Amino acid sequence: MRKNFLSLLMCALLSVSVAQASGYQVLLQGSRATGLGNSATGYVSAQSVFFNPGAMAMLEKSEVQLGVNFVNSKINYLAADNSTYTASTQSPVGTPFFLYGVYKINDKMAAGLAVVTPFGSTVEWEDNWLGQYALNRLSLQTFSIQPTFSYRILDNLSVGAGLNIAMGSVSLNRNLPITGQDGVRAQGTLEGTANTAIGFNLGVFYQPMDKFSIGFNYRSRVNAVIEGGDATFDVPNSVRGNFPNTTFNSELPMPSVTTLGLAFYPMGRDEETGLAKLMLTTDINYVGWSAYEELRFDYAEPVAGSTTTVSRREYKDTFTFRFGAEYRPMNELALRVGIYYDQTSVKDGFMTPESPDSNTLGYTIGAGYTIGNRFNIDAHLLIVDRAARTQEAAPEANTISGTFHAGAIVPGFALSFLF
Amino acid sequence: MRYIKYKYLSVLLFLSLGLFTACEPDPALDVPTPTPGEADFTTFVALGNSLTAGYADGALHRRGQIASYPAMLADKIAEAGGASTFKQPLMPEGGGNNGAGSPRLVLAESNGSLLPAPDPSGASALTNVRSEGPFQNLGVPGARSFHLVTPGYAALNPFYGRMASADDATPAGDAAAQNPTFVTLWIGNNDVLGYGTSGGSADNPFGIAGNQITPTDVFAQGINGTIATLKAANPNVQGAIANIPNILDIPFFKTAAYNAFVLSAEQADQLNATFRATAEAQARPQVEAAVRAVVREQVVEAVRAQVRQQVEAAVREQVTAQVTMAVREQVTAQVTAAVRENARQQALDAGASEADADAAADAFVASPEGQATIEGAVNAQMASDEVQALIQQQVNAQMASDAVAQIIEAQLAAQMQSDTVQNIIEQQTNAQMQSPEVQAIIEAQLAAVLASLPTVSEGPNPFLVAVPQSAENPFGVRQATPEDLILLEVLGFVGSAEFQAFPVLPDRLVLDPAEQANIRNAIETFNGIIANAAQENGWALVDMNNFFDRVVTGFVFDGVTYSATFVTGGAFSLDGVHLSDRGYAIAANRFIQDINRHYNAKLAPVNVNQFDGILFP
Repeated sequence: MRKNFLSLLMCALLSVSVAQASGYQVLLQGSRATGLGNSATGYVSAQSVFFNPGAMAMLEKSEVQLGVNFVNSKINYLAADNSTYTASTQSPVGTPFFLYGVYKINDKMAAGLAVVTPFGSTVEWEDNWLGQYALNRLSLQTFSIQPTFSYRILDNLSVGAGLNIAMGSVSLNRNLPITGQDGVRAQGTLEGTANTAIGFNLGVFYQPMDKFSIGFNYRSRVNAVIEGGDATFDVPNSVRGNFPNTTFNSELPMPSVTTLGLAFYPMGRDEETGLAKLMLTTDINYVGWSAYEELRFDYAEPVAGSTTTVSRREYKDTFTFRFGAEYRPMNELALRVGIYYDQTSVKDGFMTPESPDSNTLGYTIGAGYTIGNRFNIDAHLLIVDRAARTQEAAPEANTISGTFHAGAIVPGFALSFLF
Repeated sequence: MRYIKYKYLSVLLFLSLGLFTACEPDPALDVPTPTPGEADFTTFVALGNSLTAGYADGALHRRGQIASYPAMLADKIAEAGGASTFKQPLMPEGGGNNGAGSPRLVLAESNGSLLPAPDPSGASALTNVRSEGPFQNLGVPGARSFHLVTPGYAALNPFYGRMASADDATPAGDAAAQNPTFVTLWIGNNDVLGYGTSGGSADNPFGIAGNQITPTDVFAQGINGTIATLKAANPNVQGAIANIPNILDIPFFKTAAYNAFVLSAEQADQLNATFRATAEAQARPQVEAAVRAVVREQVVEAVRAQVRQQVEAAVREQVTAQVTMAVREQVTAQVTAAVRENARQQALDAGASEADADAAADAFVASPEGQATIEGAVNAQMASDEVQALIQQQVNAQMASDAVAQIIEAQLAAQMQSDTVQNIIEQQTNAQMQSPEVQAIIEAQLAAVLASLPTVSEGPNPFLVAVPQSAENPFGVRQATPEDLILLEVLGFVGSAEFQAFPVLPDRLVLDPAEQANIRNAIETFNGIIANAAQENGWALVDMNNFFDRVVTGFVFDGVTYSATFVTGGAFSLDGVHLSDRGYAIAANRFIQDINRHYNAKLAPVNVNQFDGILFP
């Protein structure tokens, strides 16, 4: 029952298009955070359950927040060597959501729960495109439930910790270089649900002075392990014996994320509400992508004569630099602007059609409005500008040569209820 | 005031919600514009052999022609503003034709395995399409270099015959007649590969035997003559000339392993027995004949010695009689003289006159008494050792004379030839052949010969290959070695009744190291000629040799792994010699790459994945 419910949730809501961060990381866990160039570790908000459990105990009120993003993404591809061949993704609009609940137990303690999508990617290429033997469609969906607790040690220092209960599923479809005498090209589809995996999320928040706060967050690596996924092959009858429909095991790391966040409040705070007139914030984010060395599928029965297929990935650890500014022309209204720079985790030659990663600039704007004392409504718009990137495919990566240029426009909003 | 704000905000939200699904990014791509660079693609013509024609799966068929590399290249040339038409001598729909009436091969399941089999839809006719010309794809299956400039070739090769502009036309001439500005030329495979493996009829009407390599000077004339023909029409003609791949590495030669002769223990035993029996049946008469010759020789010598003795004895008897008679005559004369003298003397002593004494002597001699006396004395003398020794001496002398020796030899020869003696010899030989001693010798010799016979055992065995019979190899069979290349056809041949009856591969199905070296050397020499031609004429050189090497090593391109593996390798068609559609696309890209480099052009490459490899049932 529970599992069914979760699967339903995943299918309905969690298709995430082109990750806006490197690799297949998704950074759309808060409207305010997104509006501030994804910076959310150095200041206090309901999203701290995810971004920095340490800051949670600093919240003034209990809060429930629900938000959603609408990811409009597109990858354009240009084949290599003077080619005029182009192809595009026709990925559906992704709707990663986030749900936060924080309960102030007392002045010192707060308990929280986050349901977020930390990683994911949904990409769908044109039929019979040039890269069909690398990928037709990929849907990687994860979500994570994070029960979290935070404790305020000092007036200006608090810590927090949470569990990261991660679930996910993957569906991958690509053509096989076998054509039937009827002209139909063979396809392989791998679908599976990951075992529930548990990691942790730690945070510290410190506000040494009125105009400056600092936060530190560490989320551990979690491996999404798929056991007994379905490998289905649509092949000509004569080669059915080589491509039995079977099961597979695989594993995908959700790497560790370490973030240091700073926030400055140069214009002080409103005396009545305690809200900062102006906040400048930055996150420096380090993702342990080197955990993703290869994408390996182990089959229960030999497929094309082998029980494994391995595509090398050889990701490297990356830094992300995020900056945001929030200005309150009046207490009810916050205007936000942000920018981030995300280093690619992918080496030359290893860029794949599922996440044609490159150095990325994200431009964000956002606004928040408070209705009475109970309701907040926040909206954001993220424009992802990935650098066009050209590569010559590394043979072991099972990918294609050429130029990928990806972009995304991500509007979204969140509704909060404070009590 | 507050209301207005709400309203404003909700409109904003509504608008942004509307944007949520409508606003799609479209990241810009810098798509290049194809340009000809320094190349003049106004009129483009392709010359070559089956590879240029789009021959695949063992036949020239419409589908393969449509996916020929020149057709793909022409598309890209048109994109760059070059020639917009490219006409090919398309075959009718259907299974195509290999030049001898067989259709292309298709993969078919038989007994649970996938094997190439003739297209069940049957062959298509080699329709005459001359009236539709001129054609820009002038690739002629089976053509060797010099064929491009051989008048009358149309009558000799049906593939050219159906498309030639005239009976006495040449492919190079048909190209030149179009005043081409740009030509591709890829020829030479058949010059080293032999006509038989490259499609077309098995006969080579040019005095060059099927598997014979084209002489170097003839090859050079073919290449240079073709270019000269084109230059005569357009002195500024540009082009790209491709060299000869290392064909020994193609699936045609690399698929059947030298030891793919797999047998069960039972089969091996049976085969060894059968093979041994066959070999023994073949060898026993030879061994027996050889032994019989030796035995007969011995018998003849023995008989000859015997006959000689008899002849000599007879001759000596004759000679002795003659000598004895002569001696007796002498002795008789002497004795008669002595007896007469004695009688005369007695008469004289009795007082007879000389005349009376002579008369009395003569009378005594003539008298029976006298005659008896003489006879007795002669006999006594003849019996004396002295006279006998004399006789023997004279006989020996005569027997040693050349005259008598010749007589003996003549008589001996005559007797040896006589039916009687011949029968004796035959009888004695037959008798000896049946003797246990001789039989043992025969068996021993047979065993020694059979010991050199290859044997097979359970599991994979080296193929047995027919070779000329020799003293060292009396059966004319050798075992294949890892250095041999076994032709793809062997996969089908092992299922044939011929092989089942006698599981030895004919020599034509195996390339031994010496033959391989000849081919390698020829490719190197010919590619030198091609490189020279490219340089002298300022044409682009397309290194197909290097490309095929890459296929052999295996490579990954656009997510597809290619190798020289038969059927599954991706680049080669079912005949193991010609390329698949996808393989031709990669070849087209080779041309494009080198044309771009040489002429500073920017032709776009072919999307290889648009094409298929081998089709599976």
